[in-house]
Amino acid sequence: MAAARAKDSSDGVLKLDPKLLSVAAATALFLISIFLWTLPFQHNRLPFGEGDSAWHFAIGDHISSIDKATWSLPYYIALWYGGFNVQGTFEPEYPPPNHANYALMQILGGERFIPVLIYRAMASFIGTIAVFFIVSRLFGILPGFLAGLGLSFSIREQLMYLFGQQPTVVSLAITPVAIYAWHKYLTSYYEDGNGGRRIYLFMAAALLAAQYLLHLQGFLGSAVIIAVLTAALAIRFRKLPAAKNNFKMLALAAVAFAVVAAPFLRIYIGTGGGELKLALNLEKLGGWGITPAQVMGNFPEGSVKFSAEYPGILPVFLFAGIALLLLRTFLVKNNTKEIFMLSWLIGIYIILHFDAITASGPARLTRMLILENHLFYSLIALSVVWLPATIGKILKLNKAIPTAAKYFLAAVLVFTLISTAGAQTQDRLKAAYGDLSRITPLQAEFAQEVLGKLPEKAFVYDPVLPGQPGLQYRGFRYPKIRWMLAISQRYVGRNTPINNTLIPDINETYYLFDYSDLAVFASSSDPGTQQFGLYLANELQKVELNLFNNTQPVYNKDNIRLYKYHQGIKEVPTPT
Amino acid sequence: MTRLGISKEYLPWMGSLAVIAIAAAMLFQITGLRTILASAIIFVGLPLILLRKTGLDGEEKIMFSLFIGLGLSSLAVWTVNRVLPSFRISIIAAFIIVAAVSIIAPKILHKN
Repeated sequence: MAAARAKDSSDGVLKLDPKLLSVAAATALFLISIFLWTLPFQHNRLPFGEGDSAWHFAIGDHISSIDKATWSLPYYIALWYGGFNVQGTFEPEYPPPNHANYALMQILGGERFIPVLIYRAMASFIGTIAVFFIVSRLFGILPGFLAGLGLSFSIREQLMYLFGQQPTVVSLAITPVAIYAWHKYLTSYYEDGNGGRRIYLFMAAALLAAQYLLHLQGFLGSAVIIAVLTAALAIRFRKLPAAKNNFKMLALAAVAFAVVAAPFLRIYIGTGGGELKLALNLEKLGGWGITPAQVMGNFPEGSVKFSAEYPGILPVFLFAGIALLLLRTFLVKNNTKEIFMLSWLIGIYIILHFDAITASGPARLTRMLILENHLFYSLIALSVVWLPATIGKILKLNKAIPTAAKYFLAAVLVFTLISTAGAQTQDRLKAAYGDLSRITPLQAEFAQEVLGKLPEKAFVYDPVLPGQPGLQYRGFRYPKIRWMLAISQRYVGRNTPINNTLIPDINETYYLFDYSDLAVFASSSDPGTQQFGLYLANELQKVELNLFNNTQPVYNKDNIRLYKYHQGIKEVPTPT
Repeated sequence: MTRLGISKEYLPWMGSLAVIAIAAAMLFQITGLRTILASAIIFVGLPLILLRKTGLDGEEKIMFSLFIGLGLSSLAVWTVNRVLPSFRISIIAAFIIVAAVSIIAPKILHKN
């Protein structure tokens, strides 16, 4: 860590250089985060995550393996969502940066999995640094550090990261920085009276473009907050931020953004991102957040539950922060920073109530809740500074008392964060995908050495097991077959191969019977798990015998068998 | 400026990078070290070439570069790769092009 340079000030008090202190605080936050967020792969270095995780990895891996960033998707990835992409099966569903970032990490990191996993971790906790940066710039290093620390323990970001929604998380993480740049531009415009500092205008445009290219949701979040902030400051200064002296630069920044964004607009239109259906549900305006019931089956409770994100006494700090923000907005004379925070709060309210005026589903809004974390942890941290300062001012206390109270509250907050969310974070990330839910070394080797040597357009079918217990197994099995696809660079999936128009050669269809996990379940000491494993193994064997009785597999080792298509196969089992 | 021609405002950040790189090396050996350095070069270094002469202070330059770089650095490489046949060569070419742009481009960013 950069050693903070100590300075003797004229009053004899030892003071630290704020610039060095800021670097040291940012470094400490980065170290805490990188240690915690890489826990899932510090000991098991195989990739993890749900299907989306493998999908994003597969595209970046494809770019680095062929040393070319092609526009169209390769066969084995295109078939994944084949038929859903209205632009065409082989059309990309994301602009290039996410996947090109993965490819860059693989190439420069010198390995296939670890550099991408490290990048994913960093891109998912980078909101910690974003919030530290803007809070410390506007309100001081202490609240900046506290806000960043809280975010490094945020369950919502962690779950999105673990599941593979990292492109959304990184895009949302840029929002605080983008709105900060816009705020700096607007305040310089109003305060300097000379057209404003154009560098901040171009920074805001570039940050918005980066968000747009990483994930549309982050861009939309910033756009809403920027609109609210612009209106709020226009009211505050009784003047619109567009006049003769800055019109040219505003137009230039808009054109620069459009030049970067326009070529990729059709991707978002093609995947339905540009679709906005209006629907009035005004009763939702009175509430806040999403209930676990709304996302049951899609996201775990922790993704939306308020008490999971803000455990212990954090809500007390939060409500104090909100109350003090409102108070300060009206009491502080130079209140542009408070207006910034208040606009952020109003913007988040609007974003999280999109479902009151549009047909937005809870799945999209659940991801948007990450925007709430950035703001709420900032307010939690600011309450530590604002509460003693405000009380001290009202009661006209000696300066030393509010200062002591500030550090006392900071210590209480740090203790609360570490003992609740911090401890849970360590346990959660250490245990994440630590069992059979991650692709096993056996399965990874099979994918690499056996599936990876099949013809390029081979189609590997993984039978779906019927029945109720099988329904649970389907969810367990799905990410595994997707990681097999990513590792082997061959299609592995559950789309039926029979009469499938996307298969160029039915003779290159293969059937996979993987008993390796089921064998572990069946040998479990827990009777329920054992019964579950035996039942599923029996069901899978029925399918195998039905399709391939008296047929030699092309591969048969370690409880995994692979068969090649034969003309006797007229149908395959379908999910029930 | 230091003897190596590095502006003093970046020195604390280079110290920070060194600490993070060492931590990553302890966790993931040479791969961790390479990944951290690569991330710094690609996500911070590339945009910083354009921002280094702006009126922003050191911290703002580093932070804006990082968050812009996450989305736009790889786009620069990707765009160059539309012309050049190799993605790997495009990484180097993107740096050369951005450096050239920073020298010859109109000084829109450099004023205030």
